[in-house]
Amino acid sequence: MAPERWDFFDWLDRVDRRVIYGFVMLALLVPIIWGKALPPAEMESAENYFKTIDALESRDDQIVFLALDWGPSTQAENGPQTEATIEHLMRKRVKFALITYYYLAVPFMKNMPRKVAARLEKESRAMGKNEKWEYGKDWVNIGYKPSMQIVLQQIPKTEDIRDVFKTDTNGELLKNIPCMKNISRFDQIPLLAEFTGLVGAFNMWVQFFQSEKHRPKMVHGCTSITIPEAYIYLDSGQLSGLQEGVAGAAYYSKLLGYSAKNPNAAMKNMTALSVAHFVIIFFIFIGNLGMFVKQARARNKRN
Amino acid sequence: MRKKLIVAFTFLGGIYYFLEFVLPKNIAFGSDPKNSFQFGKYHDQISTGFIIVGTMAIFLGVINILRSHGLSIIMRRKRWGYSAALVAAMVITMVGGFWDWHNSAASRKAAHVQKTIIAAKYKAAKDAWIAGGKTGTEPKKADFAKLTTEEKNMVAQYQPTEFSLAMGQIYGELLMGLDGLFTALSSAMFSLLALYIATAAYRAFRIRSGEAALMMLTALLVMMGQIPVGGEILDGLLEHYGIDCGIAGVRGWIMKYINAAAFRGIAFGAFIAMLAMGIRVWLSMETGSFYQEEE
Repeated sequence: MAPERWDFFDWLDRVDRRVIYGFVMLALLVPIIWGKALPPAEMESAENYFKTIDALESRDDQIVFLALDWGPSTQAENGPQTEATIEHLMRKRVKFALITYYYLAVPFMKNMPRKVAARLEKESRAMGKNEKWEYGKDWVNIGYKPSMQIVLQQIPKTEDIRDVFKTDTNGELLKNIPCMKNISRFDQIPLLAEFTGLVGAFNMWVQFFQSEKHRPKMVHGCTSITIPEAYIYLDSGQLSGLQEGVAGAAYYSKLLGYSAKNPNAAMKNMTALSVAHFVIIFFIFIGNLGMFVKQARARNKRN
Repeated sequence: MRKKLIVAFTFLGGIYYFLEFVLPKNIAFGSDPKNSFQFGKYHDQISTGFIIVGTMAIFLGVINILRSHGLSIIMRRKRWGYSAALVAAMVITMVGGFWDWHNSAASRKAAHVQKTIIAAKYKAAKDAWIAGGKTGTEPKKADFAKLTTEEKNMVAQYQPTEFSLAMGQIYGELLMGLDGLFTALSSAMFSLLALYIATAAYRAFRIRSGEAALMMLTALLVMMGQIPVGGEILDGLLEHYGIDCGIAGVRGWIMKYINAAAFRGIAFGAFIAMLAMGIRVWLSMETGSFYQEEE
């Protein structure tokens, strides 16, 4: 039997997946290693997110809750979102409490605020201001709480929310921590920022993190997969702002003051992702081209 | 009998939370407001009890793993090596986790003892100052922060040993730390999705029909709307056709109106299904290993 002739358009229709893997890997690696960034696309949802946080005031009798319900698997998207939010809150000197019901978030909850604080302190020293951000005064890490569905329902009903959590992650009583000293009532929480890639996780907060008299404003940082789910809450007004994956984090970072010349991780990751998007669009195009040519040939043969 | 007990406890657990949610906080009997009944008076304690019972399920998982994979190892079944790796990983994580917990508890205890010593010395000095007619400088707590050698040894008794710190690091740093094995492996596993999505998109997005063409066009518009250069490429073209909001605006419109409407319908269906499933589980109408009669 004569060997089959290699056909270019047939190859376009059936590109080996290893070729696609190679191109996608290069598309992601090269921009990240190169380290440059492109200006991010505008996102109204991220802009609303920024405005919501920017409208907060630095007060001793209020604390923002940050729910870090993500782990290493969604670190690439939720990590930059969380870091940008923590930086925004720290710049405005708004106190915040970290909490999670996902155990794998624990190492990130310990390290992320310290990393952001160290960066801001370095920036402050460079500007001759010598500002400090300290654990206990500017933020508290309440840590991992199992069975959050039950715990969440207790929070709005309790007389003192510190009694629900009792201690921080180091075992220190919340009543003894400076940023929680004046916080007891649920209505002293003006905002909840929830970050997750888990499907259905945000629903729980929307359902239960409210009382008859008070519903904190909510903002959300989601992964690209859960954007459709998050949009229904944004549309209904239950969410005041949304960071749509790493694209949202990149635009939020731009609003925070980062730029293509001085990018952060979110903007660099988004640039790499953009190149990968183009690679995927290219392969979709050539796949369709190959399919159309094959179909046209088959029609001609029949005729 | 066992089945009846399971059904009864399941029902009681469900009915308590249902009633606690729907009933008012205070149910008044008669005109005297003090004569009221609080259904959820012990809600915190009951909830804590449920959390503890739920946590005990971990042991069921451990027993199940040891039973199934342990048998594989003992009987040298096919691929018993993987079972051995799983059991070894479980044991290492448990041992490391235990030491990590022990170190946290020991450090907290040592810190508490140190605070108690400082507080006791400060109180004694303050009482003496008050008894002496408040003459001299008022003692401050910070003055007693420095411990004597004897006091340091007393605190050191409660601190974790070097061995337990090293064992705890297996869990805290090596496995579960920010740069730990589990963190790196989880990130690597999830990042493979990027490659699968690329090949899936290449194979799935073929214009075989009008609907497929519409789906692909929508996907392309959404993708172009969120990447940095999408606006630079398409905004001019869109303006030519009278669409002033740019590709970012087009993407936003698609997500807000088309996508949200469709997903809201899906979400409603899913929530109603969850409600139905919840009621079935609550009333033990679901068949499963707990409900089937053992023959």
